[in-house]
Amino acid sequence: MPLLAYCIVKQEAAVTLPSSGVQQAKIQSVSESGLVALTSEYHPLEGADVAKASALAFNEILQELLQRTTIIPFRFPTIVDSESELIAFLREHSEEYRKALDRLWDAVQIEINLRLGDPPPESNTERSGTEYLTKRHMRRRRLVEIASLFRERSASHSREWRQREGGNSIRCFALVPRTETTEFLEKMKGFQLPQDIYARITGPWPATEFLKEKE
Amino acid sequence: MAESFNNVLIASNEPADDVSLLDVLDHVLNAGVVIRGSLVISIAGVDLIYLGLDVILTSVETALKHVGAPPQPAKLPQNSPKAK
Repeated sequence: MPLLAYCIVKQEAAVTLPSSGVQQAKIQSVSESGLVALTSEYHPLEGADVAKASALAFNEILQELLQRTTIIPFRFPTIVDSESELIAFLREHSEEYRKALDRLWDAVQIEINLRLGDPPPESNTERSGTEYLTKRHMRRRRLVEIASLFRERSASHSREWRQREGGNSIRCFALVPRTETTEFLEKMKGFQLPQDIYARITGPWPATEFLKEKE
Repeated sequence: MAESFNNVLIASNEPADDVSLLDVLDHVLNAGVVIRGSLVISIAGVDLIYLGLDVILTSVETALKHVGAPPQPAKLPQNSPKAK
């Protein structure tokens, strides 16, 4: 029977397993080199609706575990043929995952997605392509500045900060001590944003953006 | 329950609305360790190797990365921890 892999935790965390997982299957654990991987038996999916329901059930399990300990999630759906395949994987990567779990211990990831909205109508008066590009550049620069303000404002409640820039958006990731997520979010509430910039804050999530040490 | 303050939306990670649902799916499908990336979906009792599940359920950003990408093998080589 194929196994669906949920996440990796430290063995010494001695985490209590959720009673059942995706497809109501019993959650099992596999230990190797000081790490524990959680799995459950998995049947082939029947259609996209079931796949979506399974993905949501998978998230529920991760969130339940995240409340108890630090986890490194597998991407859904990670399916292995047997426990021995997972054991070999843990053995091969044990050092990097143990280090990552130590570094991320008791921390969660909060995300701030900053997005440029449509510019105010009165500002759409460009007379040339150059003027348009200059304005666009200035709006993007403002987005970067606002990301910096979010970072400064939350610095006392975050261990680390990373961000990725897209076309009209910036995704910011804060590594926040589990016990300080409420304070972190409270800091965000008082933020005054310009009319054409939007922020969407989500979390807590497993700290996947911080798995690799910063180069 | 989501709360909004001056263009700042603080969303819960419960998939209670469509946007939160997308957040959740984006995370479970795009974030985390990868061992291999294939999935078998059966329709009417026939097993089909469904190579593009993440393309259907994932974020637009990731879906765009897959456009034009060659089909993936059923088993991918083992990878290191992979962030989003």
